[in-house]
Amino acid sequence: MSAHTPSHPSAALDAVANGRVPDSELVAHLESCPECVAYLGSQAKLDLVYAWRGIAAELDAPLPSTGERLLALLGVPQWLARFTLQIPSLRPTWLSCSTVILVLATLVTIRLVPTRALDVPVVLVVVPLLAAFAAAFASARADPAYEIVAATPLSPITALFARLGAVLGANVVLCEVAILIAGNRLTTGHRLRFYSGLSVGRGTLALGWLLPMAAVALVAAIVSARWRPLAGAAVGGGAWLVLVAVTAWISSDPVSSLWGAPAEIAYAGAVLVLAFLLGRSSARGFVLSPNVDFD
Amino acid sequence: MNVVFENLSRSYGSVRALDGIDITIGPGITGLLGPNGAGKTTMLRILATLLPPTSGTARLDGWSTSHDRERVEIRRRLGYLPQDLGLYPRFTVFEFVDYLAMLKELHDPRQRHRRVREALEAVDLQDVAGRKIRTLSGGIRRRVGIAQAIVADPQLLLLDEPTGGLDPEQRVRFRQLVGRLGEHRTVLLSTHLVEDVSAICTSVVVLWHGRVLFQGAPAELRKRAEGLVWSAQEASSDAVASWRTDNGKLRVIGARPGPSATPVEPTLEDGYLLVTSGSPIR
Ligand SMILES: Nc1ncnc2c1ncn2[C@@H]1O[C@H](COP(=O)(O)OP(=O)(O)OP(=O)(O)O)[C@@H](O)[C@H]1O
Ligand SMILES: [Mg+2]
Repeated sequence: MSAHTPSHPSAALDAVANGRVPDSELVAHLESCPECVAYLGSQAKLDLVYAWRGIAAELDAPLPSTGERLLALLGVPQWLARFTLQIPSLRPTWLSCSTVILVLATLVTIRLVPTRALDVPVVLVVVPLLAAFAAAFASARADPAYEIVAATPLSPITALFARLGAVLGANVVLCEVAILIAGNRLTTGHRLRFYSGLSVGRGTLALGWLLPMAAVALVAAIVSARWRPLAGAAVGGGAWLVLVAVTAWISSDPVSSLWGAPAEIAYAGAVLVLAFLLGRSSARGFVLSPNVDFD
Repeated sequence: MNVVFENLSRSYGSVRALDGIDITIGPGITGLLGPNGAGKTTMLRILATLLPPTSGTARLDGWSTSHDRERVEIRRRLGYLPQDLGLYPRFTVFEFVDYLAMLKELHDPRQRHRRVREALEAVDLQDVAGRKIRTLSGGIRRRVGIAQAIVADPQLLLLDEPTGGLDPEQRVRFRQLVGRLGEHRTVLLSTHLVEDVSAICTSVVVLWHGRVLFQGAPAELRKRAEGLVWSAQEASSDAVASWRTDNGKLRVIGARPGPSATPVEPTLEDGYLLVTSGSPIR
């Protein structure tokens, strides 16, 4: 082969063509030298170009990430795991920020609620806010490659609920820890222990805060599916803050007004309606909605 | 795959981006030509099932983009390169194309990895397969976009300005690739470059303000300008377009600018300029 000057390891290639396993140096060379790959193909009885492409592909293929492996343990297929993890609100930085905010909210709650300087436990107010942001930044439009991804056969409902489920799951864990800590540090019998469900006993996750959190997250998801993530977070979080502020203003007992049984029933109704609306709108499967500006 | 538009319109508020499109596009390579804002991206987004039409329908092999279940069938056969290409900066090139291949239902890892490798070789990116996307230049990112569009061997390939940002060598390579792909598939590509169309397209659609001004073979578009292109010292005021060429003379499109003007062979670009000028000549 005339083109094979000394920089092309002809002898080694001939040996490989005759069945020797290539060493790492030769593998590296083959990776960057299509000429040698072609030469190898012409020398060997096997279709080595084809074989080499397979080897090269396996060398380049990425290993599953830690998150993907974790989800695999839960039985989530790799494609769905990789898809689910491609959202800003599941990035380690995002989760760390959420943790910091929860720690601060927990500290404030522990300090201020017993002194009655504050009527409403801050941590219970912060939890739905975090969820609003997390859900908004789990929406299709928060994915930088949303235009390409939306043109794949992936079911829009699966896509939506996988990502929303994952961020809410992560937030539930973080928030439950924060509320457990806050609840435990408060005096026994304090109402926060009741509303965070801790009075039912250690290990029981009676989640009075979960329904408002879910409702607010769904509002954020619906708005960001139509407009953009920041709008979703603003509307969901804003609605919650207004509700808290108004209740604190007009109610003599804001904690039971916001987290008591009648409120919880209202949240549950809202969650059902909102989940239905979200599912229905995403089943249509257009990421670019019909009558809004999307750029 | 056959693409059929039936009286399709699409508005954004009061802007009518597509206005009563009624055309059929068959297998082969079709170039969508048109000035900025003509509606090319809107048309491709509707075919890519990302955007519903305001009225009318778009059908691909009989499947309507407005029908939930049929849309999935379309997506199974689709490769799409958007104009605003969003990628994951933290991914490697291979990882990104592999990820899209997964979403396109190539579930067997070995087979999928091989397909990814082939797609990367097709756009000459095998050497940067392990590089993070955030470290790549714009032209290389564009090629990553092309690789993900072809990885699952689509029957319909929609490419929105695929040659934007490619260097001349890669443009030639891209034309060869699309020429190969277009032998057995339907390829629809939007571009501002008339050369792209003359080099590879078997048919051309000229869009202008949301309407189809021309559909046919590139040679036909060129013919529209026959007898209307001149080499002259001076342009007349009613010329459709005129510009100075390297022989020092003006190339004039329109009525004969003067008795000394000599007729010249029209190019595809002349035909395009004439068709989009809205000129009453002809
Ligand atoms: N999201 C949007 N909201 C409002 N108007 C839009 C939107 N997208 C496009 N348009 C308008 O629709 C028209 C067609 O736009 P489109 O992007 O389809 O043009 P194009 O032919 O792809 O242009 P270009 O060559 O610049 O990419 C333009 O007038 C544009 O301003
Ligand atoms: Mg465009």
